[in-house]
Amino acid sequence: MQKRQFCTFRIADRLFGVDILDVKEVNPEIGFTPVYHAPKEVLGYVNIRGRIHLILDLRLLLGFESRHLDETSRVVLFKPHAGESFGVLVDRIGDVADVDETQIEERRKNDQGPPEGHERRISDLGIGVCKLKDELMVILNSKLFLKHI
Amino acid sequence: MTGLSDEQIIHVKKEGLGESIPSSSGFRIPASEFRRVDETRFIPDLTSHTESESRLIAEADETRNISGAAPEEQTDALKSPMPSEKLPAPRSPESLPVPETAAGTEECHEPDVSDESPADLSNTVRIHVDILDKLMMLAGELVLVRNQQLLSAETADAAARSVVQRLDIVTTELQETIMRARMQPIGKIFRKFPRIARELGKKHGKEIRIALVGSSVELDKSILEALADPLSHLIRNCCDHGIETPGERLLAGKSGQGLISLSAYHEAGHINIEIRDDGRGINPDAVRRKIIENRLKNPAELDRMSDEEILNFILLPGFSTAEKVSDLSGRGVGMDVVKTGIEKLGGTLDIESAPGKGTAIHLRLPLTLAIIPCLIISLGEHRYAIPQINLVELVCLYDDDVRTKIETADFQEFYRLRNRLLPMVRLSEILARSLPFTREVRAGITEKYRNACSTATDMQLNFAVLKVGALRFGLIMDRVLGTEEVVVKPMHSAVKSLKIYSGATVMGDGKVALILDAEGIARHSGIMADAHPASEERAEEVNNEDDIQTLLLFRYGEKEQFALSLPLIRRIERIKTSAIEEVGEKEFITVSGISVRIIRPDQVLKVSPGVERDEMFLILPKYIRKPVGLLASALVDIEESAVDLNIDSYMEDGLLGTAVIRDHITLFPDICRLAEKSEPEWFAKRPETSESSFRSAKQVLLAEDASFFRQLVKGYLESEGYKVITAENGRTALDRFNENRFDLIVSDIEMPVMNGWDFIRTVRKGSNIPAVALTALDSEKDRKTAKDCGYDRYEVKIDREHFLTTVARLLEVGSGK
Repeated sequence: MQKRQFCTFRIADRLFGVDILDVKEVNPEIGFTPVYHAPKEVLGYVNIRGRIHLILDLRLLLGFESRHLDETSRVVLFKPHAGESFGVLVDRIGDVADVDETQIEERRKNDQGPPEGHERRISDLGIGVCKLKDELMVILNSKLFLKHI
Repeated sequence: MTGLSDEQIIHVKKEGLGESIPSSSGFRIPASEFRRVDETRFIPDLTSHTESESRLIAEADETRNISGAAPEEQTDALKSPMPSEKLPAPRSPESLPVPETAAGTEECHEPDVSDESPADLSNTVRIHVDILDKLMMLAGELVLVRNQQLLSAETADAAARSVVQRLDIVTTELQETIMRARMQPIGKIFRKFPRIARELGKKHGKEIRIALVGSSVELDKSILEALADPLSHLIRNCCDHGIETPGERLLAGKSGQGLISLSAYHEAGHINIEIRDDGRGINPDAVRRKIIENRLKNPAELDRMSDEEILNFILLPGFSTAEKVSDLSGRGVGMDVVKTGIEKLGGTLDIESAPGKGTAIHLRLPLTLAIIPCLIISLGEHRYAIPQINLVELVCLYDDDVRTKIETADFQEFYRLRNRLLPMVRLSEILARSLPFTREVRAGITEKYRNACSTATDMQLNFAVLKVGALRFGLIMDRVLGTEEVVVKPMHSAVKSLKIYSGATVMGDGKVALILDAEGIARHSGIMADAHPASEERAEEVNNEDDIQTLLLFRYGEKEQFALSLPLIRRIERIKTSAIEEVGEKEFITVSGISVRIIRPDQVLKVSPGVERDEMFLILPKYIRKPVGLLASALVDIEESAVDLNIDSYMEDGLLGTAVIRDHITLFPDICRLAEKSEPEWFAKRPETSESSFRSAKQVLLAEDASFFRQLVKGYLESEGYKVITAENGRTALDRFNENRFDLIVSDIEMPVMNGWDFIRTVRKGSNIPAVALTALDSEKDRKTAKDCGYDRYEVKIDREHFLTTVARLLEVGSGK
């Protein structure tokens, strides 16, 4: 039985997860330098230990409303194989979830017609869902984030 | 994971790295990755640094690196005839057996380009560019840590301080050494040129040899890559335009084989590259013909231009002197692209050519692109960097000027900077709109600020004058913070399409600042597209250039505004009024060791008394041999203006006249006369014995088109007691000359209708009257022409003393005859 680990976080009180092998680090640095003219999902640049990262607003990527930053806001930075130095802003960071492969329910394509609104965006970026102890975690494919701005 | 390409590998001299890493104990050697390399003791495993952050991730990375590296090396080995396994040490790019190079007998190789000696080989290791970039990044982080440490060390004790100082030195050296590791020899791009030249030569029936000098000169990898295209264009140019066919060459007395020499050398932190051919050179007359055909300049302007200036026209877009379009060149897109390419790298390009002998093109480039000097500005709470290479000057307007100096024309704001219309671009508006400006948008912005300006009070407006090629524009921002050398990081690929940025950088406090791209901003704002009217306006300016004076506007009393022509001023000193000393009724001040007699305008002219300030300005004039200075209470501005001096409405001894400048009547003091009025005894000794009655009998004909100078010179002459009759050009001067009897002619050279040369030639047909040429041009060639045409003397316009002495001498000689 194959075990997988996911880095979890919350957006609009819903639980999401990305493969921990894609994640470089989680950082509380949220002093972004805006890049005007960039697509609206681009929050701006941030310097993390000498390296410049482009930060995306995951709320907008998933079709939610943007939200002001607060003390629980974090950026999740990804490793180079997920895309050129970038990260996403999340509302609140969660635990690492250990999951069996078998628990993951792969996304089925177009079984009930195209979903609407942010559900559609989530299905664009998602791999599937996984049932944890008391809630569902939507698993996102971090490699798709940069492609969807 | 992409495989390693040869391009990504940099060969590093082993000592280089050995130096930079003080101790090898902290590093593991990933033996598998470098298993074919026996000398890798100093290769650090950098992933161990990040262990604390995320151990398992680092390990995953490492395995990928290894699996990526190994197969690639094998394919390399297959490609090259010599299996890499047998090499005792990694190969350098030069040692790769390139078939053409090996087979070629024509090209001349410098010893240092040819294959490296075995000793050199064993001293190099192969390093992936990624590792170098990471090293660079870590060094950057170390710099940030060091900076924080430096701050805290200010309060620490001496022992701690010395440790921090050592950290400081080591960090700087580490950074420099890693920078050096990114350097690659220029021979890497040089070595493909002999083949290009040979192929082109064969195709066009020419024999071309390329000589390479300085192939070992090292350049930053990124510059090297960007240099390849411009250089090959220049080489193609040499082959096509420069080198003649063997027949033509033999006829011209040269050897049948053409030589292109390509050399590179270091000089003062820059790399110089010279491409020189011994071909036919660029014919300046052909360029002149093209200029006239394309109506870029009129023939009169061309006559005044030197051959070097003419040559620079070939750098304009769409300019080609080739008679016919060939597959190589002649399409007019070429030199301008090369020039833009070189300038983008922060370099310069110069052309030198001798017809029949050859052409040389000099390129001057910075060693590295990674660090460039920038102007740091702010808009709102964010900072931006503008590369210094685009910056011309900074201008700050206050209060009323903000309202009145920014003019609007149609849909664009302009500022009149020294009589040239400068389109203004507001950075805030640029950033706020992601689509390129349309006319409506521009009109809207213009309207918005026109309304805002007319109501607001107590304002300040900062802008930087930027240049993009020939275009200049003003970029309005909030504040100028200063200049800084910044480390340039490329834009993220997701936002690379945004043309208004050229990169990003990390500032000292750790925040990211974006580097603005002046060209992108000019395009975005739409001013790039309407750059043509500006060139027309410039042409207009040239036409009445003679009348334009650069004036210093200043005040002394509360009421009057004064103006002095800038060429008459040696310099301006800021003085403390407390330092003024009095001797009798005269005031003196010591300026750089010399006591200077102070002239107060209200002592010599009927003007309002001076405003007493702690600090005042002393204007030191040129062309007066005694140390005098005119006192001013405030400097208003420097203004370029077409001056039409009025001598009718208000006139006084010591004034040249008045003119309306910026809606104020402005007095033009004759500083020579003022000095004479205040210190008559200094000027009494002019070397002439003539009585003033003798002088008044003398009549001088003055031909001068610029009214300002006409007034100035007339004033000089009249103050000496001569009678002066003036004319605006050679034709009227000739009429006056035939109507009256004169003792002396003083004539300008450049005048409309009939110039000074033609005028004196006509006069000389029937008269030997003494004549002085008076001109702004002071060149040996003009002196000679003046003599040849019949002028007795040649004087530069504003040297009053010298001019009057000459006049007096000529008149004496004339009367003596």
